[in-house]
Amino acid sequence: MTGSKAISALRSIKRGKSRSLLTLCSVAVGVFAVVVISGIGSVGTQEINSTMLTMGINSAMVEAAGTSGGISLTDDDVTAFGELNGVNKAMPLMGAMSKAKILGKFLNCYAWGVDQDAKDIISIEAVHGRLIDEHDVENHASVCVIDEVLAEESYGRSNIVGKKISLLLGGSYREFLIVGIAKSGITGLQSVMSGIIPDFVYLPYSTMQDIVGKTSFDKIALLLEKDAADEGLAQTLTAEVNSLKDSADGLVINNFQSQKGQLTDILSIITTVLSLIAGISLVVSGITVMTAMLVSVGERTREIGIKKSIGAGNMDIMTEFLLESVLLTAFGSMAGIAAGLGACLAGCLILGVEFVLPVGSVISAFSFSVIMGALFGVYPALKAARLRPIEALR
Amino acid sequence: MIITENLTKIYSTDGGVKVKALDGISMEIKDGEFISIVGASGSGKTTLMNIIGCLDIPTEGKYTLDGSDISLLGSGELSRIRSRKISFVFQGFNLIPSLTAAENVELPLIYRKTEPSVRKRTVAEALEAVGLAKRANHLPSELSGGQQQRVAIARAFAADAPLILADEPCGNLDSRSGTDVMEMLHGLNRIGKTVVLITHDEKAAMTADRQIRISDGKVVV
Repeated sequence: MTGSKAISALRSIKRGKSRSLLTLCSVAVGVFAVVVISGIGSVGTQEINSTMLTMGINSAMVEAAGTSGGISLTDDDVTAFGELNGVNKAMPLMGAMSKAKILGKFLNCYAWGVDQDAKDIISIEAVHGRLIDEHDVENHASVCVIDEVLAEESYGRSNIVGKKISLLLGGSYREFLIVGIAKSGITGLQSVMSGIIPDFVYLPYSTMQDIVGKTSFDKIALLLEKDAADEGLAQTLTAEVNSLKDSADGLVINNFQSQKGQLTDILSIITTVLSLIAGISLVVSGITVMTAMLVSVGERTREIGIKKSIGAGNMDIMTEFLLESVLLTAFGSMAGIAAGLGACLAGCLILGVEFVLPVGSVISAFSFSVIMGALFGVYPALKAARLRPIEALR
Repeated sequence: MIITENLTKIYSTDGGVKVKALDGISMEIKDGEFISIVGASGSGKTTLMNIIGCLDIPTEGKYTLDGSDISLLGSGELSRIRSRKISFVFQGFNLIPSLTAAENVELPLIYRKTEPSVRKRTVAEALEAVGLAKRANHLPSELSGGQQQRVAIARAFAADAPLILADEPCGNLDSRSGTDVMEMLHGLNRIGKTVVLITHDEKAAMTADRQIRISDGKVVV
């Protein structure tokens, strides 16, 4: 019996084509917004995860807590930390904001002073040429490896091994020979956000020490044992490195794990807030549904009267109208979901990131619309059901 | 089948004036009778039909339909009684414009939750009985007035209710179709249905077993 009611509801929807279409669209737009926002959220989270992976999720950085009381990290510390439980390797790491002068262009960059273990510890990969090796470190060579993006931005192509680049370090520009091009760490995101996230250049830490006049390092990067990387290890290591340096808490360990957590948290807060705002538009479309149904009830008063006179009970009439509004919102949300997923897919193809299906949001957007159709359809359906046949037939 | 005792109906208009449409109507209609309720327009016959048809409740008085006291029932029960015991044939046909003839005839059976196979059979029989089997899939807009009224009668036939209330069924029809419709109503009476014909047409009224005349809300003897 509900089957024939559903068919009858579908017919009513078809009859009021333009009104049904408009109502449907208003629901579709709201659902589209919700789906796109959640899509951005899912893809963003995925990107953060994979980015963190390329940046070395099994890495941690030991550095001095704050600028005061500066504990300096030395070669001996590198050896010592490398032998701690759960640590695979240790590498000295220096970092400084810099400017690159290349082909007459000035580009912002961040200079990392690394050694030959950089490949494993902070996961850089050479797409052209080579990475910094132990000879460069021994010789304090003026060579560097630059990010692919820097090459593209200056020369318009990625293989510029052998070219020269001037880096602003220690107060003046110094010339370096480019020996390798590194795969950019933050793929899709960086192309959108270059300018905010600076491009990286890598030089031997010994060279950097000479330039800035230090014999110690800012940080020591650790490659953690594969299975050992978790929150607990970060705390244990923090205690251990501090005791090695006879300090209470002068050193901190930045574990990418927690940074990833922070980033994904921020992302999920943003998407939740935006989804709620999109949810408001869904409520508005619910009101549209109610309006459309009320008009429909008004137009079909006589029809309701006839049906009541031939035996329709209040429940029959109410079911009929409720079904109509639920079907309207269901179709509208399906259209919105299809459009939203399509837009997400297209966006991912254009930005070159992996498409992640926001399953949870699709399901909740659909259910929410259907519930909304029922909720906002109740009042008109009740109104229809309560019509007295004698008034309706006048 | 129908017993009314002192049925009175008073309407309040917007201006606060009270109109007494029915004034103490007492009558009895036995099972299987073909009765005609006759009166001029404004006599109260439509109001009487609405109360007999459980579409409205009396202000005073008692109405017993097939043994049940209607005056005590709520709107939910009223509609159940209506669906089981009464079929209407209206002056304006009152078919659902978006449904075909067959679907219109099927509607009361759907509300009564009849099984689909039984429904299909009953609808086919009903349309056959009024001679519209070939027009089963036509919409009311594609049928003449006479044909639409015959669909309405088929709907009443399919619903198989013991009481048929016909309110000026020939009012919008030409005389030929009108005669056909009257013949079908008598046919329904012959198979045992109680038929109450409300009309101001003397000729049609005289085909009934008995006439109840109404004037100014009262039964005129």
